[in-house]
Amino acid sequence: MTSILEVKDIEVVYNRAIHVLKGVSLNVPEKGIAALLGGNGVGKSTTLKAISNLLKAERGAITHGDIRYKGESLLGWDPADIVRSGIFQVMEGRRLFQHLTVEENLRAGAYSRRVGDIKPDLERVYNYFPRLGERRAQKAGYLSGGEQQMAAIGRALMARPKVILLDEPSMGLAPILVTEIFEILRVLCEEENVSMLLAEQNAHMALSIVSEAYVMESGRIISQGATNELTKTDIVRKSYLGMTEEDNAHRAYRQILLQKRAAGPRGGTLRPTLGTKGRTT
Amino acid sequence: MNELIYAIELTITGLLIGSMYSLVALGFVLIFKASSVFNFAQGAMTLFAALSVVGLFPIVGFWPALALTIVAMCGVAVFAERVIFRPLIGGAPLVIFMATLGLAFMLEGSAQIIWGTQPYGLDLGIPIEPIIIGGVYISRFDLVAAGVAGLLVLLLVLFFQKTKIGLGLRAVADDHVAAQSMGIQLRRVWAVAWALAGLVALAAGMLWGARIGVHFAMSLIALKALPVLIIGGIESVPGAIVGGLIVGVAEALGEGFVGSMIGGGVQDIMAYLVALLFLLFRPYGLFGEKKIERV
Ligand SMILES: Nc1ncnc2c1ncn2[C@@H]1O[C@H](COP(=O)(O)OP(=O)(O)OP(=O)(O)O)[C@@H](O)[C@H]1O
Ligand SMILES: [Mg+2]
Repeated sequence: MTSILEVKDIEVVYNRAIHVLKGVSLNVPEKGIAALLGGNGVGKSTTLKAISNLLKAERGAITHGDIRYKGESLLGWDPADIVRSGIFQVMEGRRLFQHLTVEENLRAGAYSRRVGDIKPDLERVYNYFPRLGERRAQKAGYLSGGEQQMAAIGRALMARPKVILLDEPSMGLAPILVTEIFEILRVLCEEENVSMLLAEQNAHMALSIVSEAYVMESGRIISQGATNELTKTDIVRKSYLGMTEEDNAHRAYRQILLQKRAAGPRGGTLRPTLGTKGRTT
Repeated sequence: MNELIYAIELTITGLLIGSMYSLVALGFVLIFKASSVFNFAQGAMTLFAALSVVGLFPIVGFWPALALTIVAMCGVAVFAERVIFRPLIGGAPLVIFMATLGLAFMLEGSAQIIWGTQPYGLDLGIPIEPIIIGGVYISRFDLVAAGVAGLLVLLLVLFFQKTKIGLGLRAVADDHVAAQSMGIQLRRVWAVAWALAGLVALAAGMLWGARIGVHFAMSLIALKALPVLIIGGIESVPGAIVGGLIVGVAEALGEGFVGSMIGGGVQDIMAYLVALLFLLFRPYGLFGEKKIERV
């Protein structure tokens, strides 16, 4: 499979001192979805911001390596030019314009396009997300978490991008909503011919839709591969994902023991939690 | 009955003058919304614009003077964006604030070099004799000035709501990193915000200048805007408008009723008294932007 976006051995430093990415390489397949997996603070968002050249506002800089899009280096490009060339980022936490209406948010997504008429694009987004259509005149800040994520994805579609970078779309959403969102992403990838790079902590869900995955730990890629191989890889299971059935069962058991101990002899409500490292969704 | 008419007269005068306070405050709001910076140079920009108009007026005539000043204010905007914002992106807000302080000195300094320090009069040709409606005297000049201020505000609101760059401005005001992530160019938006603030400064400078003369104390007009911003909320366009009107009315009524009893001088402290009340009971201002928080 050919890659539309290639990140080649990039290093990123914040404040000229904090070395956060220590050589990250990854490829986003054309018309496919790649996942970038890892826990808190490993450098997923930094990688995505490096691609979109959004590091400057945070006093970060790429000190080594290259980012190539359709074979051309993106280093030093203005963020607006990167968007115009077809790479759109849905930032962590959705980042909707809270005081703008849903429709104004969508219009803002089309900002980089020069064409005048974006009505058909609005209708297309409302087709994918009918709930947004119903709330088009409402301030975005009052949408539910799931609706906000849909609006953020819809806003990306308005730019007619070739590549969408998604930073933790599952964050703070109930599992059923995550499933729904990921299903939409898969459909979009097929119907709209966009490629995606999906940064996620929620590896279990993410692996169900991606064709290729990279696992990150403290600024490095520690494991990579097509998803079916990857799920079997030992590193993944041990270092972070905790996704096999036995593993989960084992953890849940340990959790119960711990809680019992903490709650004392009378005991409290026992609720086994899955995975200790990731966020609860 | 006479008391009532007097009160109505004072209120109307207050509203008219207040609209000019609104105009001055609006300049601050524009830049604060776009970049979260309190632009200390707004007063200096007002002075600079007014001086430029009165300075060029006798040489080239009124309309060319106005046009040249508009160009100059846009130049100031581009300069401010290049020299202050672009290099300081991501810097501490205090640093950027200090830079606007520097800009204020630069503007005042160059105004002094070009036009000297003497006061100028500005005659816009608006008749001074008041009109009388039902026994109430209304200054014709204040009426025209308020009309101009109102028109300008209306145009600004339309610009924000109906144009693409207006949408960009509002998006940047809401979340500038997110705005940047979708290809909205911060530089361009900032330059436009500064240019708008410059045009507002020009309007305010001309109206105030025609009313009280153009002189260096004009840059202290910023001190009038401060209570307006406290009352209205520094991020709010409607806040600047309503805040200005409140200050205007409070000053007029205070001076007219209390001032006449204790021998004047109430006008200057009224604005701050009202602002103080707001600080105590409504610290984020009338329309201060509340964070939208869902429960
Ligand atoms: N502006 C910054 N200045 C200094 N250090 C930063 C900055 N932004 C991020 N970091 C550090 O860089 C590391 C990686 O951060 P990043 O946000 O990329 O992680 P992440 O993988 O996205 O984590 P999460 O899943 O929690 O969002 C962290 O240790 C973080 O503290
Ligand atoms: Mg992150």
